[in-house]
Amino acid sequence: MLSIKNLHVSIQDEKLITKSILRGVNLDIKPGEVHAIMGPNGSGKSTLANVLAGREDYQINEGAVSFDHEDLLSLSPEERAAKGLFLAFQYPTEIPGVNNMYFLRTALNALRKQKNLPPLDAADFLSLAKAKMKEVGLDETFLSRGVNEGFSGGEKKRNEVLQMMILEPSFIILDETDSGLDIDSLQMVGRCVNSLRGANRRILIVTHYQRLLDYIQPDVVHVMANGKILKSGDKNLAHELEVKGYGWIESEITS
Amino acid sequence: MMTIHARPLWLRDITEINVNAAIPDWLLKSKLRSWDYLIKSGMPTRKQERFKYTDFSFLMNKQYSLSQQKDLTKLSDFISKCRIKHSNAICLVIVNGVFQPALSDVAQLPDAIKVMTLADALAQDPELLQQQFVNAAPTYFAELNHALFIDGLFLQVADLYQSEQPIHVLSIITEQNDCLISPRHVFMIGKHANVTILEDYEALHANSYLHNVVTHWELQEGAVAQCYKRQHENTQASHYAHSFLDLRESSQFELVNMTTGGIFSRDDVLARLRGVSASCSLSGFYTLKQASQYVDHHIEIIHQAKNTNSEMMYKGILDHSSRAVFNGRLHVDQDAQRVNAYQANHHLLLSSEAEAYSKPELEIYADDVKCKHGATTGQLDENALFYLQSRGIEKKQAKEILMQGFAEEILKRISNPSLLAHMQEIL
Repeated sequence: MLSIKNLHVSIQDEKLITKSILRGVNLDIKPGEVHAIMGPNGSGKSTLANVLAGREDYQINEGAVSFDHEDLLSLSPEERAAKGLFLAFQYPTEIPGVNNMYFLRTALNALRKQKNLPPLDAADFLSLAKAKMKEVGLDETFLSRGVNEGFSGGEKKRNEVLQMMILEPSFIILDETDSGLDIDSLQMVGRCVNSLRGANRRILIVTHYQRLLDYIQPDVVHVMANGKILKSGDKNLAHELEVKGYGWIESEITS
Repeated sequence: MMTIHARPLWLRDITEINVNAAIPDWLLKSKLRSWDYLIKSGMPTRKQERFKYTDFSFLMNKQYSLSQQKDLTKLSDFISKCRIKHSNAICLVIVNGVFQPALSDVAQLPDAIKVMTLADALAQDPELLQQQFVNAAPTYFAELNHALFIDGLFLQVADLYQSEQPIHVLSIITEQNDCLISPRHVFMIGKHANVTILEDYEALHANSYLHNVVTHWELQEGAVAQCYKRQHENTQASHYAHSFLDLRESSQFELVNMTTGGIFSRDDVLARLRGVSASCSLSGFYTLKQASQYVDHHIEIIHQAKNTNSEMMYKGILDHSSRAVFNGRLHVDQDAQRVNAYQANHHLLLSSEAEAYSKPELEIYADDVKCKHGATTGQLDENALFYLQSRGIEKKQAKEILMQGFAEEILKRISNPSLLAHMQEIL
């Protein structure tokens, strides 16, 4: 169970002015469930995703997040990853000089170590990686390049999905993984996420659009605006948003 | 008014220059001239542009003596530890600045590679060396080496010889006293020959000697040389190296310098691209992990002929209160048209006390020239660090991965895997 209770988060900009971003988020995701968070730009969706993954730029002012009965916010990013949390980044970082395959293998073996599993050697890892690359539609040459170095927007997203497929996390957060993707890539993301769907896995999809949800059917859809979840419903809520936009919810709440 | 120059204590103690048996008359004279220069000019000060960031005051009160250590027993274990693993490299051992054929793989040398002590080379063909020594620039430490050197390594590769075996030049300091070691090396590469040389600097003990090396490289027409330098002196030592490169038509010289050792380290490279289409790529990587550790690369490339190319690419990681200096001087003669030159220097600072100084000097007299230069100083990329951590990689390891990634641009220049592994060992 992932449980977010009354989470308040702010950030300091370059001028050291504190800006409140999340203003009391409540969210529960049970094992096996797929949740989608939709909302306009600046509503706090990506902040929520990054706070869950442990990015340090944020100030947590109030609230708690428990993940399988543990205080998630007290853990370092790598400890969260070891517990099974995975964030597919909206803007994956380029790391020149660090070989992509070396990075993937180091990450997998770090997680295996936590589970008391022996590390995969280079040969075993290579055959695993090749199989997964086929699934995400990345050419094998991407293994020998620097991490995301010179990758196109779509290739970066595929590399994120590749990491998800290799690391097999138990809590997946997709932060606008669909943005900037063509139809084929979108289908690939859908296929890969669906292949991981299972009784023990939680998935949180952060998106602007309903498109990706055509491929990954969510159990619950939330609408976020102004740092709060304003409305939750089933997948029909996503369709409704696509037709009516976000404005009606905000007016519905205020009225 | 008379100027009184600072003369270090140890130079007062060394009362006469070290003259070994019978050296040619010209050499004796030039040694005396160098000695005279040392007495008259005094230690360089920070008022001189060339030494603007270099503080030699720590050298003033040392008690250096000249190296006396001649005991070579018990060295074979250390030498085998220092050998390049999984490599057919030919190891040539220099102990306290003196080439030791008996400890070296001289039997493995092909006929095309002639190796001897510099003293023997001087006896055999003094004129040959006289021509080499002309290329030295008159700077304090080069003059100091010239006045005091007795020996070093002489290596000559015959025309057309394509060497399959790298040459491992292993310099070991065994002295336990603080001493001054002044070896002089000469590498002459014949026409269209190809050779790879790894210059390795190691020490047996942790004391504060001054290793003051001068190396001459001459590449004849079409010659190709890869030089990998691995400076792993002990943490108390000072290392000063001058390299003088003389590059003829269509020759190619490539340097990768890896420096981690010594409390003080400075490399002055002077490369003259004298022949048409000669090229020279000088690169280096340094990691400073000690407080007050200092590393300095003073690189000077002179394009004297047309169609010549050059590159300087130096990168370093600085921790604690360490300091790094890079000075890249590029000179293009008026007649040296169609020249391509690139220089870059990048630093990663891990501590707020670390300092990096980077200075390009471009003097270009030709008009058809492409020259670019760039320098950056920064910290570890927080986004990249978070990215690695978010995949389960511990912060400490994530930092190491990023630092290794930073070095990769330099390391990838070493294509031979055994030599690469040997160079990486010290990082």
